[in-house]
Amino acid sequence: MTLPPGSRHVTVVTPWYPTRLLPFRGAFVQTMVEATAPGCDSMTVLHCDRWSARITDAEDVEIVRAHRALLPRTKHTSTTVGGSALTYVPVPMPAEVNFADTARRHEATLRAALDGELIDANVVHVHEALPSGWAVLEHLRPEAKLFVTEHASFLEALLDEPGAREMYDKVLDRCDRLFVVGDGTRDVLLKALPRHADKVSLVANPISFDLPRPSPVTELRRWLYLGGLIPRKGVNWLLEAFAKCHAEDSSLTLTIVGDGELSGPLRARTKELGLQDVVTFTGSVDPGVALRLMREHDLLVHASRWESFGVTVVEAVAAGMPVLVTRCGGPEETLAGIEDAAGELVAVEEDDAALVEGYRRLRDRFPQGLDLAEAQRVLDERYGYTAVARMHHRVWFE
Amino acid sequence: MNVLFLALGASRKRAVVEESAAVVASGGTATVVVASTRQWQLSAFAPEVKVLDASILHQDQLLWRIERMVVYRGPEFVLKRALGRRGKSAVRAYRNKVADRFHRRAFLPVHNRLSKDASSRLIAGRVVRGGPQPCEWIVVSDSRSMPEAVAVLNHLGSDTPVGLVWSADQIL
Repeated sequence: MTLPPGSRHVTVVTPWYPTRLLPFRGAFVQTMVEATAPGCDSMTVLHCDRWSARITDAEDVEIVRAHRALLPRTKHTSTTVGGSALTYVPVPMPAEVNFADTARRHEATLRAALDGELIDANVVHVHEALPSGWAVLEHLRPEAKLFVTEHASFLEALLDEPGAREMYDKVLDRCDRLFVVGDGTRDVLLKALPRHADKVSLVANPISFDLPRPSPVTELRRWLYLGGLIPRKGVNWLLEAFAKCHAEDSSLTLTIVGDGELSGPLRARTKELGLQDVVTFTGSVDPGVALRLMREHDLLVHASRWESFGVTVVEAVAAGMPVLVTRCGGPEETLAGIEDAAGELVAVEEDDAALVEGYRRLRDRFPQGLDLAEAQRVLDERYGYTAVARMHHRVWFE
Repeated sequence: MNVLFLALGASRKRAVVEESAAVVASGGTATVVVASTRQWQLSAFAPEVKVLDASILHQDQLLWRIERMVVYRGPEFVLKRALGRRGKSAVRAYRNKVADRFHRRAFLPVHNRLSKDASSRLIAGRVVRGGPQPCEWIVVSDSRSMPEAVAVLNHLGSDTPVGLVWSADQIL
């Protein structure tokens, strides 16, 4: 099917989208689709999902050959949010591949999946310049507009790789606009590729403010952490801070949602601290369950060292929860002007003191010192579906 | 809906466990073919999901029956008779330290070389005659399963009605 120029059909290409294996990964892409699809004639989401495995070079060759043979024989389209079509294509690759080669593999997979055709859309919006932006470059209609949203928390490492930086530069040459989800990401990008400054602008990850909390938070007793169990997230300091606060108030509980390399050490430390009865590890859960958990807890605590945006913090406020979070890049931008209304922001420190002190301050001024309704109103205006969809539709179609 | 999951690489376990559960929850049947059930010991499959160790498919072959007799049953019988009450633990030790190691390190590589397409032929047979009704869909669940999937499709023939997907969510 060929669409006439000007048609409001959009193809979204992404390496991240929630799956059974990783239900959290790419949840922000899914919300972007959910928010923006209703204003389009139609939308196709092309999810090129990395399938890593520890394999030998010979096995790699055999797998790539088999993958090419299977692609034309597979059914890979279903439906997703907003009535969009979801095309799912795995991208097989060995476990250790650099950024440039990862992008090349995505391109080769897309080429095979398209079977010589161009992407059938006048507007193509990719998430991540590498791999997705690079993957689509040779498969766009000449008149197609290309937009990129950059979320990568590893962008600095990516741009430090000369081959990857060169490819990124080419994506920026071709694209109409590149959106970043925070000033931190923009700074990293423009430090490496300053000549593209005029194409780079900020965009928010859309957040739904439509699901009300059954009853408001009345005490800050049930703590919640949602995210990867990795060093960058500072979960170890969060656990230590919780232990100290629990020593002062034994009614406190902590639910840790997520998986990662620190899962084992954190469980061991919990046992060492004697907190097994009050700290719960749920593992990864799908985004729907995460939102439900937010409505069943009293306080979101995040101790991240660095975040480009920090979707979870905004989602927590949307769910009617106060937040205790570090000034790690994203939250001070997303909560600008409503820090005190939404909760407490603390410094990033390599210990638990800031979190403990922050909790005490928050507890002492809760609930009178907060204004969650005002925080929700402001964040809805900034990051609600309507605001984010309007911005996308304007740049896509005007 | 009858679905066969090829999960020989065991690199996307959560997806396989959840998708197979979703298939049976929707009233279908799910068979998961794995390279070794040992790799999946900690995975909680839904009770209705059939998990099939690929090696079991070979159990009726002559070469496998000979190995069972010579490497497992024969020595184990002798140990039991010779050691009486201590025979049970001796058999367990022999199986873990000698027989299984021989099977993995010597027998399987030779067997795989001699009968390169035996697995895919047997899996194809399973697809066609696996249960009360033949499978309608094959889910290729990880990259290591891709070469096997190609071989299985070759055995099924180009006119096979069996469909291929990367995830059961695409057919549920």
